[in-house]
Amino acid sequence: MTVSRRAFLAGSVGMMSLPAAARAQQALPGDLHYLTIAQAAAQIRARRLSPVELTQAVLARIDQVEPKVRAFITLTRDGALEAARAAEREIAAGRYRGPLHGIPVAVKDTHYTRGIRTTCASPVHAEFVPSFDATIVARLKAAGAVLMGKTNLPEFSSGSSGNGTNNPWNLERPTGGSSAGNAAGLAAGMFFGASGGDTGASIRGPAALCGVVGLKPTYGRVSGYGVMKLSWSVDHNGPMTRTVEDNALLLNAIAGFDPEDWATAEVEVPDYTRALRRGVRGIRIGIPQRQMLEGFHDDELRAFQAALDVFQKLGARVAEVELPPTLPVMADAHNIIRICEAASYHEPFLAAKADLYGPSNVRRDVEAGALLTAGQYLRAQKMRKIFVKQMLGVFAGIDVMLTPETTPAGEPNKARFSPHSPFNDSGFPGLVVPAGVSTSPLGLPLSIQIVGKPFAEETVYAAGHAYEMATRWHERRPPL
Amino acid sequence: MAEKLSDISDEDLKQMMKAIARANGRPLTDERVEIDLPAYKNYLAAVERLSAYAFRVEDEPAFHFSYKPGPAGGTKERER
Repeated sequence: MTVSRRAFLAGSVGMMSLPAAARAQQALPGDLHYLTIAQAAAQIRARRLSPVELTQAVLARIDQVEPKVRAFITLTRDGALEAARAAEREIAAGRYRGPLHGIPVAVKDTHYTRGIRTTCASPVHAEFVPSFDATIVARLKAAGAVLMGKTNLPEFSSGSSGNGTNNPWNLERPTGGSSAGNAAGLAAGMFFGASGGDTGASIRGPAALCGVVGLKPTYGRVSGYGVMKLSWSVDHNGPMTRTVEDNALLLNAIAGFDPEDWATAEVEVPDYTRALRRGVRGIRIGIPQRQMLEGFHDDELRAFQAALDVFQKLGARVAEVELPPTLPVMADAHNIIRICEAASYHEPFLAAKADLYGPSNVRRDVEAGALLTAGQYLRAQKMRKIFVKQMLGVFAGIDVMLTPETTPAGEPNKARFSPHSPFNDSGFPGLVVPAGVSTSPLGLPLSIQIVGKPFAEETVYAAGHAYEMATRWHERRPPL
Repeated sequence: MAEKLSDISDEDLKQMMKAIARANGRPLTDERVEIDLPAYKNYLAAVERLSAYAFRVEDEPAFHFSYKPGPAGGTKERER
Protein backbone atom coordinates (compact mmCIF):
# COMPACT_ATOMS: atom_id res chain seq x y z
CA MET A 1 0.00 0.00 0.00
CA THR A 2 1.31 3.43 -0.88
CA VAL A 3 0.87 6.27 1.56
CA SER A 4 0.57 9.63 -0.14
CA ARG A 5 2.67 12.52 1.17
CA ARG A 6 -0.56 14.35 1.80
CA ALA A 7 -1.89 11.47 3.93
CA PHE A 8 1.35 11.19 5.86
CA LEU A 9 1.51 14.85 6.58
CA ALA A 10 -2.17 14.97 7.45
CA GLY A 11 -1.06 13.78 10.87
CA SER A 12 0.37 17.21 11.50
CA VAL A 13 -2.24 19.57 12.84
CA GLY A 14 -2.41 22.99 11.24
CA MET A 15 0.34 22.40 8.71
CA MET A 16 -1.64 20.93 5.85
CA SER A 17 -1.73 23.90 3.53
CA LEU A 18 2.04 24.16 3.07
CA PRO A 19 4.40 21.98 1.03
CA ALA A 20 6.59 19.79 3.21
CA ALA A 21 9.82 21.67 2.58
CA ALA A 22 8.16 24.93 3.49
CA ARG A 23 6.71 23.39 6.62
CA ALA A 24 10.09 22.10 7.75
CA GLN A 25 11.78 25.35 6.94
CA GLN A 26 9.10 27.24 8.76
CA ALA A 27 9.95 25.30 11.87
CA LEU A 28 13.66 25.01 11.22
CA PRO A 29 15.80 27.55 9.43
CA GLY A 30 18.18 26.37 6.74
CA ASP A 31 18.16 23.70 4.08
CA LEU A 32 16.54 20.33 4.67
CA HIS A 33 19.80 18.57 3.85
CA TYR A 34 21.58 20.43 6.62
CA LEU A 35 19.07 19.62 9.35
CA THR A 36 20.51 17.67 12.24
CA ILE A 37 19.23 14.17 12.88
CA ALA A 38 17.56 15.45 16.03
CA GLN A 39 15.79 18.24 14.11
CA ALA A 40 14.70 16.00 11.24
CA ALA A 41 13.56 13.27 13.61
CA ALA A 42 11.41 15.72 15.54
CA GLN A 43 9.77 16.86 12.31
CA ILE A 44 9.23 13.29 11.07
CA ARG A 45 7.83 12.12 14.37
CA ALA A 46 5.40 15.03 14.39
CA ARG A 47 4.59 14.18 10.76
CA ARG A 48 5.54 17.64 9.63
CA LEU A 49 8.21 16.16 7.36
CA SER A 50 7.95 13.00 5.30
CA PRO A 51 10.90 10.56 5.10
CA VAL A 52 10.33 10.41 1.35
CA GLU A 53 10.56 14.16 0.91
CA LEU A 54 13.59 14.30 3.18
CA THR A 55 15.26 11.55 1.14
CA GLN A 56 14.34 13.30 -2.09
CA ALA A 57 15.83 16.53 -0.76
CA VAL A 58 19.04 14.72 0.09
CA LEU A 59 19.13 13.02 -3.32
CA ALA A 60 18.73 16.42 -4.96
CA ARG A 61 21.63 17.70 -2.86
CA ILE A 62 23.70 14.69 -3.87
CA ASP A 63 22.94 15.36 -7.53
CA GLN A 64 24.10 18.92 -7.00
CA VAL A 65 27.37 18.34 -5.15
CA GLU A 66 28.50 14.75 -5.73
CA PRO A 67 30.24 15.58 -9.04
CA LYS A 68 32.47 17.95 -7.06
CA VAL A 69 32.85 16.05 -3.78
CA ARG A 70 32.83 12.42 -4.99
CA ALA A 71 31.85 10.96 -1.64
CA PHE A 72 30.19 7.78 -2.89
CA ILE A 73 31.39 4.56 -4.40
CA THR A 74 27.83 3.27 -4.73
CA LEU A 75 24.74 5.44 -4.48
CA THR A 76 21.65 3.37 -3.66
CA ARG A 77 19.06 5.79 -4.95
CA ASP A 78 16.24 3.29 -5.57
CA GLY A 79 16.85 1.42 -2.33
CA ALA A 80 16.87 4.67 -0.39
CA LEU A 81 13.54 5.79 -1.80
CA GLU A 82 12.07 2.35 -1.16
CA ALA A 83 13.30 2.43 2.47
CA ALA A 84 11.95 5.96 2.87
CA ARG A 85 8.54 4.90 1.58
CA ALA A 86 8.55 1.95 3.99
CA ALA A 87 9.44 4.29 6.86
CA GLU A 88 6.66 6.62 5.84
CA ARG A 89 4.13 3.79 5.80
CA GLU A 90 5.22 2.56 9.22
CA ILE A 91 5.11 5.97 10.81
CA ALA A 92 1.76 6.73 9.25
CA ALA A 93 0.52 3.46 10.76
CA GLY A 94 1.72 4.58 14.19
CA ARG A 95 4.84 2.41 14.29
CA TYR A 96 7.51 5.06 14.84
CA ARG A 97 10.78 3.29 15.66
CA GLY A 98 12.81 6.17 17.04
CA PRO A 99 15.03 9.07 16.03
CA LEU A 100 16.71 7.32 13.10
CA HIS A 101 13.43 6.32 11.50
CA GLY A 102 13.36 7.78 8.01
CA ILE A 103 16.77 9.44 8.37
CA PRO A 104 19.19 9.18 5.41
CA VAL A 105 22.55 7.70 6.39
CA ALA A 106 25.59 6.21 4.66
CA VAL A 107 28.20 3.61 5.50
CA LYS A 108 31.81 3.31 4.50
CA ASP A 109 32.22 0.81 1.70
CA THR A 110 33.82 -1.64 4.10
CA HIS A 111 30.45 -2.51 5.63
CA TYR A 112 28.74 -5.59 4.21
CA THR A 113 25.38 -4.69 2.74
CA ARG A 114 23.13 -7.51 1.65
CA GLY A 115 22.60 -7.38 -2.09
CA ILE A 116 24.70 -4.22 -2.50
CA ARG A 117 28.24 -4.27 -3.84
CA THR A 118 30.89 -3.86 -1.13
CA THR A 119 34.27 -3.05 -2.63
CA CYS A 120 36.59 -1.70 0.07
CA ALA A 121 37.65 0.57 -2.82
CA SER A 122 39.69 -2.26 -4.29
CA PRO A 123 39.48 -4.01 -7.64
CA VAL A 124 39.94 -7.18 -5.56
CA HIS A 125 36.33 -6.80 -4.41
CA ALA A 126 34.94 -4.96 -7.42
CA GLU A 127 32.14 -7.48 -7.91
CA PHE A 128 31.60 -8.62 -4.33
CA VAL A 129 27.95 -8.56 -3.26
CA PRO A 130 27.47 -9.81 0.33
CA SER A 131 24.58 -12.04 1.23
CA PHE A 132 24.13 -10.46 4.66
CA ASP A 133 24.40 -7.11 6.38
CA ALA A 134 27.17 -6.12 8.76
CA THR A 135 25.78 -5.91 12.29
CA ILE A 136 26.07 -2.11 12.13
CA VAL A 137 24.04 -2.01 8.92
CA ALA A 138 21.46 -4.41 10.33
CA ARG A 139 21.11 -2.23 13.42
CA LEU A 140 20.77 0.94 11.37
CA LYS A 141 18.05 -0.72 9.30
CA ALA A 142 16.32 -1.99 12.43
CA ALA A 143 16.28 1.60 13.67
CA GLY A 144 14.54 2.59 10.44
CA ALA A 145 17.44 4.52 8.88
CA VAL A 146 17.48 5.03 5.12
CA LEU A 147 20.73 3.85 3.50
CA MET A 148 21.81 6.32 0.81
CA GLY A 149 24.87 4.37 -0.27
CA LYS A 150 28.42 3.25 0.28
CA THR A 151 31.12 5.87 0.73
CA ASN A 152 34.64 6.21 -0.57
CA LEU A 153 37.93 5.32 1.13
CA PRO A 154 41.50 4.50 0.15
CA GLU A 155 41.97 0.90 -1.01
CA PHE A 156 41.39 -1.48 1.91
CA SER A 157 41.27 1.48 4.31
CA SER A 158 45.03 1.78 4.06
CA GLY A 159 46.58 5.21 4.19
CA SER A 160 45.38 8.72 4.73
CA SER A 161 44.31 9.64 1.22
CA GLY A 162 40.73 10.33 0.27
CA ASN A 163 41.05 8.25 -2.91
CA GLY A 164 39.58 10.99 -5.05
CA THR A 165 37.07 12.37 -2.56
CA ASN A 166 37.42 16.15 -2.34
CA ASN A 167 37.19 18.32 0.74
CA PRO A 168 33.97 20.38 0.58
CA TRP A 169 35.74 23.29 2.26
CA ASN A 170 38.27 23.52 -0.53
CA LEU A 171 37.93 21.06 -3.38
CA GLU A 172 41.66 21.26 -4.01
CA ARG A 173 42.41 20.07 -0.48
CA PRO A 174 42.39 16.47 0.83
CA THR A 175 39.77 14.97 3.09
CA GLY A 176 42.17 12.66 4.84
CA GLY A 177 41.42 8.99 5.15
CA SER A 178 40.18 6.50 5.42
CA SER A 179 36.53 7.35 6.16
CA ALA A 180 36.83 10.08 3.54
CA GLY A 181 33.45 9.81 1.83
CA ASN A 182 31.66 9.86 5.18
CA ALA A 183 33.36 13.05 6.34
CA ALA A 184 33.06 14.88 3.03
CA GLY A 185 29.48 13.74 2.49
CA LEU A 186 28.41 14.95 5.92
CA ALA A 187 30.08 18.31 5.46
CA ALA A 188 28.40 18.64 2.06
CA GLY A 189 24.92 17.76 3.34
CA MET A 190 24.65 14.45 1.46
CA PHE A 191 23.39 12.43 4.47
CA PHE A 192 22.80 12.99 8.18
CA GLY A 193 24.98 10.33 9.75
CA ALA A 194 27.43 7.66 8.74
CA SER A 195 29.33 4.69 10.08
CA GLY A 196 33.06 4.69 9.61
CA GLY A 197 36.13 2.77 10.69
CA ASP A 198 39.27 3.86 12.52
CA THR A 199 42.54 1.91 12.87
CA GLY A 200 44.84 4.87 13.45
CA ALA A 201 42.81 8.01 12.67
CA SER A 202 40.36 6.98 10.00
CA ILE A 203 37.23 8.38 11.62
CA ARG A 204 38.82 11.24 13.51
CA GLY A 205 41.24 12.51 10.89
CA PRO A 206 38.73 12.98 8.07
CA ALA A 207 36.16 14.33 10.54
CA ALA A 208 38.69 16.95 11.65
CA LEU A 209 39.71 17.90 8.12
CA CYS A 210 36.11 18.21 6.95
CA GLY A 211 34.74 19.93 10.06
CA VAL A 212 32.34 17.25 11.27
CA VAL A 213 31.95 15.16 14.42
CA GLY A 214 33.50 11.71 14.61
CA LEU A 215 33.68 9.19 17.43
CA LYS A 216 36.08 6.30 17.68
CA PRO A 217 34.28 4.41 20.43
CA THR A 218 35.85 2.19 23.05
CA TYR A 219 37.19 -1.05 21.60
CA GLY A 220 34.37 -3.56 21.91
CA ARG A 221 31.60 -0.95 22.08
CA VAL A 222 30.47 -1.41 18.44
CA SER A 223 30.47 -4.67 16.54
CA GLY A 224 32.82 -5.10 13.62
CA TYR A 225 31.08 -8.20 12.32
CA GLY A 226 30.65 -7.99 8.58
CA VAL A 227 33.03 -5.05 8.23
CA MET A 228 36.12 -5.60 6.08
CA LYS A 229 39.21 -5.44 8.23
CA LEU A 230 42.51 -3.74 8.32
CA SER A 231 43.50 -5.09 11.73
CA TRP A 232 41.18 -7.05 14.01
CA SER A 233 42.57 -5.85 17.32
CA VAL A 234 43.07 -2.20 16.35
CA ASP A 235 40.05 -1.50 14.12
CA HIS A 236 37.17 0.44 15.64
CA ASN A 237 33.86 1.27 13.97
CA GLY A 238 31.93 4.33 14.99
CA PRO A 239 29.51 7.12 14.13
CA MET A 240 30.17 10.28 12.15
CA THR A 241 27.69 13.16 12.17
CA ARG A 242 27.43 16.95 12.11
CA THR A 243 26.66 17.35 15.81
CA VAL A 244 27.53 15.61 19.06
CA GLU A 245 23.86 14.99 19.80
CA ASP A 246 23.44 13.24 16.46
CA ASN A 247 26.53 11.20 17.17
CA ALA A 248 25.00 10.01 20.43
CA LEU A 249 21.79 9.10 18.61
CA LEU A 250 23.73 7.04 16.09
CA LEU A 251 25.81 5.32 18.78
CA ASN A 252 22.60 4.43 20.60
CA ALA A 253 21.55 2.48 17.53
CA ILE A 254 24.76 0.65 16.70
CA ALA A 255 26.45 0.00 20.07
CA GLY A 256 26.25 -3.17 22.06
CA PHE A 257 27.27 -6.78 22.40
CA ASP A 258 27.13 -8.90 19.27
CA PRO A 259 27.50 -12.65 19.59
CA GLU A 260 28.99 -12.65 16.10
CA ASP A 261 31.87 -10.44 17.26
CA TRP A 262 33.76 -11.84 20.23
CA ALA A 263 35.54 -8.54 20.70
CA THR A 264 32.31 -6.77 21.62
CA ALA A 265 31.87 -6.22 25.32
CA GLU A 266 28.89 -7.25 27.39
CA VAL A 267 28.65 -3.77 28.81
CA GLU A 268 25.29 -2.08 29.11
CA VAL A 269 24.49 0.50 26.45
CA PRO A 270 23.04 3.63 28.06
CA ASP A 271 20.96 6.20 26.25
CA TYR A 272 23.88 8.40 25.30
CA THR A 273 21.69 11.44 24.74
CA ARG A 274 20.88 11.57 28.47
CA ALA A 275 24.45 12.57 29.24
CA LEU A 276 24.54 15.46 26.81
CA ARG A 277 23.36 18.13 29.18
CA ARG A 278 25.48 17.14 32.15
CA GLY A 279 27.89 19.95 31.41
CA VAL A 280 31.54 19.97 32.39
CA ARG A 281 31.49 21.83 35.69
CA GLY A 282 34.04 20.21 37.96
CA ILE A 283 35.32 17.65 35.49
CA ARG A 284 39.07 17.16 35.31
CA ILE A 285 40.60 17.67 31.89
CA GLY A 286 44.12 16.45 31.26
CA ILE A 287 46.22 17.91 28.48
CA PRO A 288 49.57 16.71 27.14
CA GLN A 289 52.61 18.46 28.52
CA ARG A 290 53.68 21.53 26.60
CA GLN A 291 56.72 19.88 25.02
CA MET A 292 54.49 17.17 23.56
CA LEU A 293 52.61 19.82 21.59
CA GLU A 294 55.68 20.83 19.62
CA GLY A 295 55.18 20.58 15.89
CA PHE A 296 51.42 20.93 15.83
CA HIS A 297 50.24 23.56 13.35
CA ASP A 298 50.00 27.06 14.85
CA ASP A 299 46.33 27.39 13.94
CA GLU A 300 45.61 24.04 15.55
CA LEU A 301 47.38 25.05 18.75
CA ARG A 302 45.46 28.33 18.78
CA ALA A 303 42.18 26.42 18.48
CA PHE A 304 43.31 24.02 21.19
CA GLN A 305 44.15 26.84 23.59
CA ALA A 306 40.87 28.60 22.83
CA ALA A 307 39.02 25.36 23.57
CA LEU A 308 40.79 25.07 26.91
CA ASP A 309 39.66 28.59 27.74
CA VAL A 310 36.07 27.64 26.87
CA PHE A 311 36.16 24.54 29.04
CA GLN A 312 37.61 26.48 31.96
CA LYS A 313 34.92 29.14 31.63
CA LEU A 314 32.38 26.31 31.71
CA GLY A 315 33.79 25.15 35.02
CA ALA A 316 36.21 22.39 34.07
CA ARG A 317 39.60 22.05 35.73
CA VAL A 318 42.57 21.69 33.41
CA ALA A 319 45.96 20.21 34.25
CA GLU A 320 48.90 18.88 32.31
CA VAL A 321 49.42 15.14 32.39
CA GLU A 322 52.39 13.07 31.43
CA LEU A 323 51.70 10.75 28.51
CA PRO A 324 52.85 7.13 28.86
CA PRO A 325 56.64 6.79 28.62
CA THR A 326 56.20 3.97 26.13
CA LEU A 327 54.35 6.24 23.67
CA PRO A 328 57.20 6.32 21.08
CA VAL A 329 57.84 2.60 21.07
CA MET A 330 54.10 1.93 21.05
CA ALA A 331 54.03 3.62 17.66
CA ASP A 332 56.36 0.90 16.42
CA ALA A 333 54.30 -1.79 18.12
CA HIS A 334 51.17 -0.34 16.51
CA ASN A 335 52.67 -0.67 13.05
CA ILE A 336 53.75 -4.26 13.68
CA ILE A 337 50.36 -5.31 15.07
CA ARG A 338 48.48 -3.55 12.31
CA ILE A 339 50.47 -5.01 9.45
CA CYS A 340 50.70 -8.55 10.85
CA GLU A 341 46.94 -8.68 11.25
CA ALA A 342 46.39 -7.08 7.86
CA ALA A 343 48.69 -9.66 6.28
CA SER A 344 46.66 -12.46 7.81
CA TYR A 345 43.37 -10.89 6.66
CA HIS A 346 44.72 -10.53 3.13
CA GLU A 347 46.05 -14.11 2.85
CA PRO A 348 43.11 -15.41 0.81
CA PHE A 349 43.09 -12.37 -1.47
CA LEU A 350 46.85 -12.55 -2.04
CA ALA A 351 46.49 -16.24 -2.83
CA ALA A 352 43.66 -15.84 -5.31
CA LYS A 353 43.65 -12.29 -6.62
CA ALA A 354 47.07 -10.74 -6.03
CA ASP A 355 47.16 -9.24 -9.51
CA LEU A 356 43.92 -7.37 -8.91
CA TYR A 357 45.28 -5.07 -6.20
CA GLY A 358 45.13 -1.43 -7.21
CA PRO A 359 47.96 1.05 -7.58
CA SER A 360 48.15 1.73 -3.81
CA ASN A 361 50.86 0.21 -1.60
CA VAL A 362 48.50 -2.28 0.02
CA ARG A 363 49.83 -5.36 -1.73
CA ARG A 364 53.42 -4.38 -1.01
CA ASP A 365 52.69 -3.68 2.64
CA VAL A 366 50.75 -6.85 3.39
CA GLU A 367 53.16 -9.06 1.47
CA ALA A 368 56.01 -7.63 3.54
CA GLY A 369 53.95 -7.83 6.72
CA ALA A 370 53.40 -11.54 6.12
CA LEU A 371 57.13 -12.02 6.56
CA LEU A 372 57.17 -10.88 10.18
CA THR A 373 57.23 -13.65 12.75
CA ALA A 374 54.77 -14.67 15.44
CA GLY A 375 57.37 -13.77 18.05
CA GLN A 376 57.71 -10.26 16.67
CA TYR A 377 53.93 -9.82 16.64
CA LEU A 378 53.58 -11.06 20.22
CA ARG A 379 56.35 -8.75 21.37
CA ALA A 380 54.30 -5.86 19.98
CA GLN A 381 51.21 -7.10 21.77
CA LYS A 382 53.19 -7.32 25.03
CA MET A 383 54.15 -3.69 24.58
CA ARG A 384 50.50 -2.89 24.02
CA LYS A 385 49.47 -4.31 27.37
CA ILE A 386 52.18 -2.32 29.13
CA PHE A 387 51.00 0.77 27.25
CA VAL A 388 47.34 0.23 28.15
CA LYS A 389 48.24 -0.08 31.83
CA GLN A 390 50.23 3.14 31.65
CA MET A 391 47.38 4.91 29.85
CA LEU A 392 44.93 3.76 32.53
CA GLY A 393 47.33 5.30 35.04
CA VAL A 394 47.31 8.60 33.16
CA PHE A 395 43.51 8.63 33.22
CA ALA A 396 43.31 7.72 36.91
CA GLY A 397 43.52 11.41 37.79
CA ILE A 398 41.40 12.87 34.99
CA ASP A 399 37.97 12.44 33.47
CA VAL A 400 38.89 13.28 29.88
CA MET A 401 41.98 14.23 27.95
CA LEU A 402 41.93 17.05 25.44
CA THR A 403 44.31 16.94 22.48
CA PRO A 404 44.89 19.12 19.45
CA GLU A 405 43.70 17.52 16.25
CA THR A 406 45.43 17.05 12.97
CA THR A 407 46.86 19.87 10.89
CA PRO A 408 44.53 21.80 8.52
CA ALA A 409 43.75 19.85 5.34
CA GLY A 410 46.77 19.52 3.08
CA GLU A 411 49.24 21.23 5.39
CA PRO A 412 52.39 19.34 6.47
CA ASN A 413 52.08 17.44 9.73
CA LYS A 414 55.10 17.84 11.98
CA ALA A 415 53.42 16.95 15.27
CA ARG A 416 55.61 15.24 17.82
CA PHE A 417 53.00 12.61 18.57
CA SER A 418 49.92 11.23 16.90
CA PRO A 419 46.74 12.14 18.78
CA HIS A 420 45.07 9.13 17.15
CA SER A 421 46.81 5.74 17.16
CA PRO A 422 47.60 5.71 20.92
CA PHE A 423 43.87 5.55 21.51
CA ASN A 424 43.39 2.79 18.97
CA ASP A 425 46.07 0.82 20.78
CA SER A 426 44.59 1.51 24.21
CA GLY A 427 41.02 1.26 22.91
CA PHE A 428 39.94 4.47 24.68
CA PRO A 429 37.11 6.49 23.07
CA GLY A 430 38.04 9.65 21.17
CA LEU A 431 35.61 12.27 19.91
CA VAL A 432 36.53 14.91 17.35
CA VAL A 433 34.51 18.13 17.29
CA PRO A 434 34.91 21.25 15.14
CA ALA A 435 36.86 23.95 16.97
CA GLY A 436 37.67 26.80 14.65
CA VAL A 437 38.86 27.99 11.27
CA SER A 438 42.39 28.11 9.95
CA THR A 439 44.06 31.41 9.09
CA SER A 440 46.90 29.97 7.02
CA PRO A 441 45.60 28.67 4.71
CA LEU A 442 42.37 30.54 5.27
CA GLY A 443 39.02 28.97 6.01
CA LEU A 444 39.74 25.28 6.67
CA PRO A 445 38.16 23.49 9.63
CA LEU A 446 40.08 23.04 12.86
CA SER A 447 39.12 20.51 15.52
CA ILE A 448 39.90 19.20 18.95
CA GLN A 449 39.76 15.67 20.31
CA ILE A 450 38.18 14.65 23.61
CA VAL A 451 39.36 11.27 24.89
CA GLY A 452 37.69 9.34 27.67
CA LYS A 453 38.20 6.28 29.79
CA PRO A 454 37.05 2.92 28.44
CA PHE A 455 33.25 2.87 28.02
CA ALA A 456 32.98 6.47 29.21
CA GLU A 457 31.47 7.73 25.97
CA GLU A 458 28.82 9.55 28.03
CA THR A 459 31.46 11.77 29.63
CA VAL A 460 33.08 12.39 26.27
CA TYR A 461 29.75 13.33 24.74
CA ALA A 462 28.88 15.58 27.69
CA ALA A 463 32.12 17.49 27.20
CA GLY A 464 31.73 17.62 23.43
CA HIS A 465 28.15 18.85 23.61
CA ALA A 466 28.97 21.51 26.20
CA TYR A 467 31.79 22.77 24.01
CA GLU A 468 29.63 22.68 20.90
CA MET A 469 26.86 24.70 22.55
CA ALA A 470 29.36 27.26 23.78
CA THR A 471 31.10 27.77 20.45
CA ARG A 472 28.77 26.82 17.57
CA TRP A 473 31.67 25.93 15.27
CA HIS A 474 29.60 22.95 14.13
CA GLU A 475 27.11 25.26 12.44
CA ARG A 476 29.55 26.45 9.78
CA ARG A 477 28.92 25.12 6.27
CA PRO A 478 31.34 24.81 3.36
CA PRO A 479 30.98 27.14 0.38
CA LEU A 480 29.83 24.56 -2.13
CA MET B 1 75.44 -10.93 21.00
CA ALA B 2 72.66 -11.22 18.46
CA GLU B 3 73.09 -9.50 15.11
CA LYS B 4 71.14 -6.28 14.75
CA LEU B 5 68.41 -6.44 12.13
CA SER B 6 69.65 -3.19 10.65
CA ASP B 7 73.03 -4.78 10.00
CA ILE B 8 71.61 -7.43 7.71
CA SER B 9 72.45 -6.67 4.09
CA ASP B 10 69.77 -6.16 1.47
CA GLU B 11 70.91 -9.29 -0.32
CA ASP B 12 70.57 -11.37 2.83
CA LEU B 13 67.17 -9.79 3.52
CA LYS B 14 65.99 -10.73 0.05
CA GLN B 15 67.04 -14.33 0.64
CA MET B 16 65.21 -14.25 3.98
CA MET B 17 62.11 -12.85 2.33
CA LYS B 18 62.08 -15.58 -0.27
CA ALA B 19 62.62 -18.29 2.32
CA ILE B 20 59.90 -17.03 4.68
CA ALA B 21 57.47 -16.54 1.81
CA ARG B 22 58.08 -20.13 0.71
CA ALA B 23 57.53 -21.34 4.25
CA ASN B 24 54.29 -19.34 4.31
CA GLY B 25 53.16 -21.20 1.20
CA ARG B 26 53.17 -18.15 -1.06
CA PRO B 27 56.54 -17.69 -2.74
CA LEU B 28 57.56 -14.23 -3.89
CA THR B 29 59.02 -13.55 -7.32
CA ASP B 30 62.25 -11.60 -7.58
CA GLU B 31 60.23 -8.66 -8.84
CA ARG B 32 57.93 -8.75 -5.80
CA VAL B 33 60.88 -9.07 -3.44
CA GLU B 34 62.35 -5.88 -4.89
CA ILE B 35 59.00 -4.09 -4.52
CA ASP B 36 58.37 -5.36 -0.99
CA LEU B 37 61.88 -4.88 0.41
CA PRO B 38 61.50 -1.22 1.55
CA ALA B 39 58.34 -2.05 3.48
CA TYR B 40 59.97 -5.10 5.05
CA LYS B 41 62.96 -3.04 6.14
CA ASN B 42 60.64 -0.48 7.73
CA TYR B 43 58.89 -3.19 9.70
CA LEU B 44 62.19 -4.70 10.81
CA ALA B 45 63.36 -1.28 11.96
CA ALA B 46 60.22 -1.07 14.11
CA VAL B 47 60.90 -4.56 15.43
CA GLU B 48 64.45 -3.56 16.30
CA ARG B 49 63.35 -0.48 18.24
CA LEU B 50 60.71 -2.52 20.02
CA SER B 51 63.24 -5.21 20.87
CA ALA B 52 65.32 -2.68 22.75
CA TYR B 53 62.60 -2.52 25.39
CA ALA B 54 63.38 -4.55 28.53
CA PHE B 55 60.35 -6.81 28.74
CA ARG B 56 59.84 -8.81 31.89
CA VAL B 57 59.17 -12.52 31.77
CA GLU B 58 55.77 -11.79 33.31
CA ASP B 59 54.70 -9.41 30.54
CA GLU B 60 51.80 -10.89 28.59
CA PRO B 61 50.39 -9.98 25.19
CA ALA B 62 47.31 -7.76 25.14
CA PHE B 63 44.73 -10.26 24.10
CA HIS B 64 42.55 -12.85 25.68
CA PHE B 65 39.84 -15.25 24.65
CA SER B 66 36.33 -14.62 25.79
CA TYR B 67 33.98 -17.44 24.94
CA LYS B 68 30.47 -16.23 24.46
CA PRO B 69 27.43 -18.21 23.44
CA GLY B 70 26.02 -17.33 20.05
CA PRO B 71 22.32 -17.21 19.19
CA ALA B 72 20.39 -20.38 18.58
CA GLY B 73 21.19 -21.70 15.14
CA GLY B 74 24.89 -21.06 15.34
CA THR B 75 27.19 -18.53 13.84
CA LYS B 76 26.68 -16.92 10.48
CA GLU B 77 29.26 -18.02 7.99
CA ARG B 78 31.80 -15.36 7.19
CA GLU B 79 32.06 -14.68 3.48
CA ARG B 80 35.16 -14.32 1.32
